[in-house]
Amino acid sequence: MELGIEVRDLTLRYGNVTALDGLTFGLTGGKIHGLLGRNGSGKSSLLSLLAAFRRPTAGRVLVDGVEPFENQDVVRMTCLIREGGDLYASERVSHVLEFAARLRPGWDAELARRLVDRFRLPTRSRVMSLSRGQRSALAVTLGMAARAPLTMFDEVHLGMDVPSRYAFYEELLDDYLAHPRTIILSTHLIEEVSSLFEQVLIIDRGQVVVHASADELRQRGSALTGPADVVDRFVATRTVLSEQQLGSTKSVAIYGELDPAQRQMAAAAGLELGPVALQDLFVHLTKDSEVLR
Amino acid sequence: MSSIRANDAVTVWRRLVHGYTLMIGLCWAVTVLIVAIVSVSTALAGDVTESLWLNTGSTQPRYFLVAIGVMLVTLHLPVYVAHGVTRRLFMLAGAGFALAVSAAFAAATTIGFSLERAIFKWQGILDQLSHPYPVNTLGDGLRVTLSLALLGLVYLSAGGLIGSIYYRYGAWIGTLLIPAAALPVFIAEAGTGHRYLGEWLAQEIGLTGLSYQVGILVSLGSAAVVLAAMYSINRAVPLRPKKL
Repeated sequence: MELGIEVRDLTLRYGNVTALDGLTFGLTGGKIHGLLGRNGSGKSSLLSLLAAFRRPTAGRVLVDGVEPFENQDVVRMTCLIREGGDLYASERVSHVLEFAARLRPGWDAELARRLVDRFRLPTRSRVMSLSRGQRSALAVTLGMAARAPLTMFDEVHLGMDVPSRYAFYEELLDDYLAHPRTIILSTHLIEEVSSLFEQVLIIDRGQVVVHASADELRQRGSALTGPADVVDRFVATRTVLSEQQLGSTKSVAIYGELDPAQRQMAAAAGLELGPVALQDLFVHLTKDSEVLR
Repeated sequence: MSSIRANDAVTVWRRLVHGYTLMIGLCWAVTVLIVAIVSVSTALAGDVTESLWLNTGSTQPRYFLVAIGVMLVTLHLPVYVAHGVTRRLFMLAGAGFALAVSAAFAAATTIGFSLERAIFKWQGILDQLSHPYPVNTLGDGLRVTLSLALLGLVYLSAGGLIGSIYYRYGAWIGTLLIPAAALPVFIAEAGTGHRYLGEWLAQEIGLTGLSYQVGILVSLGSAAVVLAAMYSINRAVPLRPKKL
């Protein structure tokens, strides 16, 4: 089952602070969506509304066409895993897994066992005695084994070490391909995860900055590599996102699409063209307060 | 809104019962141990003039019910909601759990009275007490069980209400409103004449002559008010942010 999401004029305020300011967008079901934004941009607030962890101040959230808040049919198909994990800290890992198995209709015990082994989780230990990385791995295990049609991870893998994070990405992709569902990944580790994204939603200051397919977004910029002087001449009138130089060779990421004639000109000048890193685009798109819709 | 599925509510109810069985067993084991020690000490001193179970075994476990109520909201509600359970369903299952636990506590208390009475009778001190023994017949036992079950429900619900206020409005407001949240407990105790505070309160305000039926109604009303307040606070309560 693949749940689509519609968000219309969504606003969330905490007292005088506006966390989300009239968001409107739609997420296609059955895809992996990247949710990107700077600290305090409203990512966690948005996910908490999609998961019915709270009610919006104004506007609407529709999951599979219906409002999720206090809707048992929707929330049982929704799983939001937050960084700290919403679980019993004083219980043993095995109990936490068993608890989730009882409440999650799509629970895959075999997958849970495999992930526990792969992340080397001590099942007899209490959650409170786990390291930050192990708690993150447990949270990831809960989110994946639940196999909810709408699964969301909110910066859950930040505490994991590199091998564990790569194991998570690999397992997530494999399981997604075998059991397609709607997945939203909110993360700051953009380059690590960007290859998983099919769609990207960037928000800043509670508003949508960009919502596009990952491929389309990558085409909004280019990476040019070649002799430094040639590169400098070519990018002189363009917005440079990042640059690196090694000896006389320079690599520059620029913002803005290149038309076929410009691409031909770059190739003729001896420059290599490549896709721009999503992270560079993200930094550029969120660096000032102007919202680029 | 979608309808609540009975099997989902039963699943949540079972998980709550399963999670508390050992803890409740330990609570009663400790209570029985304390009463046994106090009873033996008092008997050795030759000072048994009233039911010791009435003073200790039938009162102290109620405070454990308050603790369960607090945890029901502050600990369990967020975890269940995060595992795909609506607040409404959780509160329905939680109310069922509260009823079951209160009834079990009341039954355990009545069983305690029966055992103590049998021991008093065996020791020949049943007729030497300064007050008549509180439970002498099956009818007494049933009346006391019902009355204590409702009182336990008020205690547990009041704990839930205190926890709800703390979780939703924070520590300052939670602390300030403890007296208001605990008031129904005193009212129910006063109505039923149970120890401790209610009995004292009933004497102070001259409510000692209330009939058993009125006491039951007062307890029912108190429980209903507290549960309604809990529902009102929790039906849209936001889950707090979680960070490691």
